[in-house]
Amino acid sequence: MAGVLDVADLEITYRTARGAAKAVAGVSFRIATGEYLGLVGESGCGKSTIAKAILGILPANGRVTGGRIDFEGTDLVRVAPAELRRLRWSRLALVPQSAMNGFDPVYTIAQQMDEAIRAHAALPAEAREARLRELFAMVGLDASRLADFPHQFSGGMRQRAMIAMAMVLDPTLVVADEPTTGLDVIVQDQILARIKEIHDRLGKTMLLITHDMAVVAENCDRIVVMYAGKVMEHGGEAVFQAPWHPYTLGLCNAFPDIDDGDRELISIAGAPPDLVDPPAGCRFAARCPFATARCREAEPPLVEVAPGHVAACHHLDRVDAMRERARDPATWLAAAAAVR
Amino acid sequence: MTGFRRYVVRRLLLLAFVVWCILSIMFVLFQLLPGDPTAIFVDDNFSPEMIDRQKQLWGLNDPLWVQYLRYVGNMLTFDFGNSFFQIEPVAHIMADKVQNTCLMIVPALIVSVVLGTLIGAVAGWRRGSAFEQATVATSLFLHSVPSFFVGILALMIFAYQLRWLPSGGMVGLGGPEGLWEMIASRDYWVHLLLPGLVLVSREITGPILLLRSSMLEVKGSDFLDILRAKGLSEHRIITHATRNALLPLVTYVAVMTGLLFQGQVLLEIIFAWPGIGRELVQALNDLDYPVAQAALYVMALVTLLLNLVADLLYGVIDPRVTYD
Repeated sequence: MAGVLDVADLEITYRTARGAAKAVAGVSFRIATGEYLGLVGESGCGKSTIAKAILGILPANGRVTGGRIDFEGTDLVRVAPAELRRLRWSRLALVPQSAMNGFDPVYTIAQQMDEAIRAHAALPAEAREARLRELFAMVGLDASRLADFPHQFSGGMRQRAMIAMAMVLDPTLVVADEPTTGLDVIVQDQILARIKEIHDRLGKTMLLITHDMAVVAENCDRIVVMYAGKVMEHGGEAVFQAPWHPYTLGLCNAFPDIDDGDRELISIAGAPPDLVDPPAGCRFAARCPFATARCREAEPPLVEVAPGHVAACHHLDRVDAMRERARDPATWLAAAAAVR
Repeated sequence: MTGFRRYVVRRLLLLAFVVWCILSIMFVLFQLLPGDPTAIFVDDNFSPEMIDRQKQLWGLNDPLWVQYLRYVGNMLTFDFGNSFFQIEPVAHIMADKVQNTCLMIVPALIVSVVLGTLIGAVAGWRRGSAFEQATVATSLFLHSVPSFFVGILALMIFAYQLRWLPSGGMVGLGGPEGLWEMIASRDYWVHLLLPGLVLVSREITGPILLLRSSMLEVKGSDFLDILRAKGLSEHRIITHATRNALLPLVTYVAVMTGLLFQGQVLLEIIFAWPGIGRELVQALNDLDYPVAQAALYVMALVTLLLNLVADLLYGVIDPRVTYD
């Protein structure tokens, strides 16, 4: 399988008032053609920062300080601006956070979709118009609403229009950065179904960024679990079926299980570490119920636990015991007490 | 669009009400003003009968409410009566003075808004640059220097010391007279240069500072990231940002124009520009009631109309504004 996106040893640093914060500290993953990869982690783990880096829209105080982002053979970190501009949207598109106002409020939806086409292709007006209608139909919006302004759309409609706009130039890779935040549950489902449909029917390569383990379990082929700027675990379905990393175990506990509705939801106590001055050793150690002295001293490497499945933990040898104990809320309560 | 029509009607009714209020307040104020209008042209040697005849002639013996109704009616039909001193209907004088004031402020306004918008937009976009810092510092300085000071300084240097430019008036002696002949003449523009630049030096700071701060606000918008991700050129992105940043400028320009229109008393005096501000001061000094009244009324009307235009324009440039 040829890779569409190959992220290697990516480091991204934000300049902050308190010093340099390494939001992404050596992350590597690949997305094969036609694959649907989910990138999960809690707020501030660096997942959205990676999405921004891929599209080259990091805020002014953020910079890629190491590693590569290879997209179809082009390193997006070092590409010339003109070349990047050509690649954007035509080859890699973004479905932004729905809470984000992705549309310019003073132009119509059609104008803004059309603008993307015109920036990359010389098509006659009728062809562009036909394309917009086709895309609106695809995401289930009425073509008569094309001339509407963004504020005339509901949150869900706006996000559908955003998906339509992402598809306007038939890109290879679509990055969906928390596309359902701020939408109600039913609309969330519809949006995710649309994205899944585009992946399945059109064979798009997808990168879905979310904090919701259940969403990833339902939609994605492969999954990367991030914590405090690092990859904790990376693999196929096995990552949420039989996790190896305590953090993944904790995440799975925190979301409802469709098959086991009675299961109690358990949250992981504490907050992610300070990225300006990260702790030595494993970054999850402070909140981990299984942490030992070794975890606080040495950083665990990513180890292959099964073909195509890696995890970074010093205690992979006692994974069965950890899985067993992770099911017990008391384990996490004890860790919570220790955090305090 | 019916919502819009209803809005316009409501807005016009409100305008009428405000005009009526202004007229009434002015009526009361001029009644309260010390001194009798007849005192201006009634000599001590006049016999009581003659004084009475004069009062009769001007309608000053009528009951107050009759005077009030007559006054409102006249004002509404722009019948301002005759000046006490200039043998000319006040309406003609007003038309003339309004035109003269416009001849000074309109070119200055256009230059200030267009140039100020561009400078402010770029300054906001390039936040933290030397250009932005220099722009803000200069604008704040120019904004805080009184225009009469700059005006006198400019006069001293360019008119009296260097003798490059005329010291005052709209045109030289025997210059062109009609509006279009004047605009087409070099003479008018040479005369306009000094007061015009002094005016611009102050008025341009408003659009600059406003656009800069409004641009800073727009710069934080998420949609700019999407535009960037769409692979648009920097130029297109700035266009989007500026279009959004322009919204508050519309109201500002309307208010600014109103203030400019009535606020040029000092510059008109310094540069001997025969505008409406100078006329008003002159009329008040001379107790030339009809002229003073008309000048105040015209200034108020201009301000009101500009505000109406701004409100209506706002809906055109910001699709989110509805009139329901």
